Amino acid sequence: MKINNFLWCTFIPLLLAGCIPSTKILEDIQLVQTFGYDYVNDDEFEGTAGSSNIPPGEQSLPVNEVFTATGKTGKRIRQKMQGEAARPIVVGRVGLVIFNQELAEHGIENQIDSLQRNPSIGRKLLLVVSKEKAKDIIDSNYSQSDSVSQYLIDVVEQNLKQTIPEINLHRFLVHYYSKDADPFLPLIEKQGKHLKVSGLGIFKDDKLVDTISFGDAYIFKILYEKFRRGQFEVELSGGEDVSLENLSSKTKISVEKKNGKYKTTFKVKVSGRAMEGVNLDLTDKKTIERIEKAVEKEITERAEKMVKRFQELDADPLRIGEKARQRSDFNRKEWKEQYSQMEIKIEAEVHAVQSGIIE
Amino acid sequence: MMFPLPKEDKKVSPYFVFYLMHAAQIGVGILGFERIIAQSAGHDAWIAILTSGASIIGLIWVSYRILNKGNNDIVAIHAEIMGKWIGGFFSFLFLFYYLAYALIVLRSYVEVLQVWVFPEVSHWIFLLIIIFLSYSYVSGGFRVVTGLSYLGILYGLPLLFVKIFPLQYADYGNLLPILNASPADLFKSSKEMTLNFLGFETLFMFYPFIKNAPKSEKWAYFGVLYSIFIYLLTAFVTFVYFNLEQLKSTIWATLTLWKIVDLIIVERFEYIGISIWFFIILPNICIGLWCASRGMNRLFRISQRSALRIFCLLLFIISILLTDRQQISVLHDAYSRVGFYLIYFYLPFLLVLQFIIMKVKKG
Repeated sequence: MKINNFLWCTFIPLLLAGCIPSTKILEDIQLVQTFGYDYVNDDEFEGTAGSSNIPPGEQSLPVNEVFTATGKTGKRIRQKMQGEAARPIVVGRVGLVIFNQELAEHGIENQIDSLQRNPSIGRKLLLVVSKEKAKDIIDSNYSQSDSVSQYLIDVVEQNLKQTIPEINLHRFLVHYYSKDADPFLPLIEKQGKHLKVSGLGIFKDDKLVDTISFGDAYIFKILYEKFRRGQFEVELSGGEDVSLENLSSKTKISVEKKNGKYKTTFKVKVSGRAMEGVNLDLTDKKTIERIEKAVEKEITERAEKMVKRFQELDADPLRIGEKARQRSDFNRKEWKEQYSQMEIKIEAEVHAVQSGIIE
Repeated sequence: MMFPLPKEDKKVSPYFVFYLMHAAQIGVGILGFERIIAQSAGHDAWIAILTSGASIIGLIWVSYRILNKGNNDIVAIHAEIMGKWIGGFFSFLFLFYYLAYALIVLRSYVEVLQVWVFPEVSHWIFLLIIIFLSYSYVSGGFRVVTGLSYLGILYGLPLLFVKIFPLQYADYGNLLPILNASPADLFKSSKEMTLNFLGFETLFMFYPFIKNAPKSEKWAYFGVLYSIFIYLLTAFVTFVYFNLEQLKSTIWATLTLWKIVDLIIVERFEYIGISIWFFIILPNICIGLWCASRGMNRLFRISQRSALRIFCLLLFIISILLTDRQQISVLHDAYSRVGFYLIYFYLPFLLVLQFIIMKVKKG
């Protein structure tokens, strides 16, 4: 019996040795890092895959390779791309997906669906909307980098930390699926030999309905999430520019319901150091108070304007609806009816300390 | 005596019931149970885990009363209560129930492997490897299976720490408002949840293999409490991470959670997670196979090893025939329905029947 078992243990693995699935060696595959979608017509779209290749040789720099194909489904496009690629295309490390603005306006449901369905796509994937064609963004040279894909990913990632709300595939999906919130995505555009993040695209379900500017994206970030390390500039009544640095902010959204009427209040708390006040005495308490008032006013006005705009569009990227849902007396039908006319109040409270290393 | 008790050197200490109980309960279900329980009760479904867990504790109490009185396994108890033929028939059904338990775990795990890791490998290869491995463990006897359950729990521990990553994206507001689900919804959800606790019925087969078995009762409770804790933790993390609508469309929520894990050297943690998971489902298959083959040995005059070989072959053939999701889910539904009636109706019924018949026999 002992020998019998031993034989089995030896033979079965030997028999199965031929069943190893194809191995993926880094040098033998085409690793796609960025993917772009462009609008062609209502049925078809154009897909662009950006990847980099390191040719053999000690000092060799990565060479960018871009594949483009048009088709009705992502699968078909990938098949066509495979046709022109020398090595198998692998999507396991895609870090950035670019939707062209025109495509986003027509809806990105199909693309999102195939992204989340594919088990080899991670959830930290970055999604952006581009003003130009996604193909042009992926297929061009930038001054700062060897690998285009890595450069694109770095620009977006850095901005997500500093200037616009953090959003990745997971966060997008949370908003996208929610019945009480709408998604938003960063907006990028090309400027000469640089890429820059230029604002936010606001979605209603899966369609892009509006874009907001870079400056407003910052206000959006303050309303949307808690963060530290930021920068804010205001113009005082006297015409002097002051910037508030090392900003940390926290926002509380509270939804009230009285007599079947909803009312929302944003309580924004910001604190930071006043710096770079040209011709201003930053050690003076009065000046600091003036700065505080000015920043409060600026935030409140711009936020109110932005929220109004969202209400007009009937889109809810700030997920006020989600907050309302958490009430036990929430009624989705009532909420939907009232959202666009509901009273939304912004209360900003700014705390500034004088700063700088000189007095 | 028709059903002799096992020798002392084949038995395990009472506290091993903790591992056996827990290992039998946590299987492939945990990879995707959140969606099913959230379908009716929404984010309140964590309450359902508590209520159904409590009912399982009650059922374990019932099981121990039956087993302590019969002082043997289910085959002997059936024979004692209902006689050789009818009792034998019910025991025979139990065998297939155990086999189905092993089959479900095996086939669902292979499905996960195929979808997530090796889409290009056909399923019979995995089946062959896993069944062969299970065969070699089960043929080592009950003590080996027990050791495997212990190791399975140990290997699974790192997966608990991974929950920290999705918590970075948590939105605790998701759980509000608490107690919004109606009692009817909660009941439905607890009913679905009960199915994830199935597996503890294997106790009816391995009971005689425990030294001083009545003493092991508290360890069985601890095992279930630990299972409840694991399910609660998993559900909690899933509920704060996913939006409700998103959760409802995610087949394996626990697995999808791993997609956010960001380790320095690993881009896709799911691959590692699924591999570790193998050591958690292997004891399930082994316990199921052991119970089925042991029962065969008790019912008919064949050795447990030959019974095991027959069952392994049967398992292989049936699981090869199950090729798509639909079939797996049909099988799963059938199994869970049978399991539900078995634990909530048959076990209490058996307790009452045993009580009456023992009284009559004495009188």
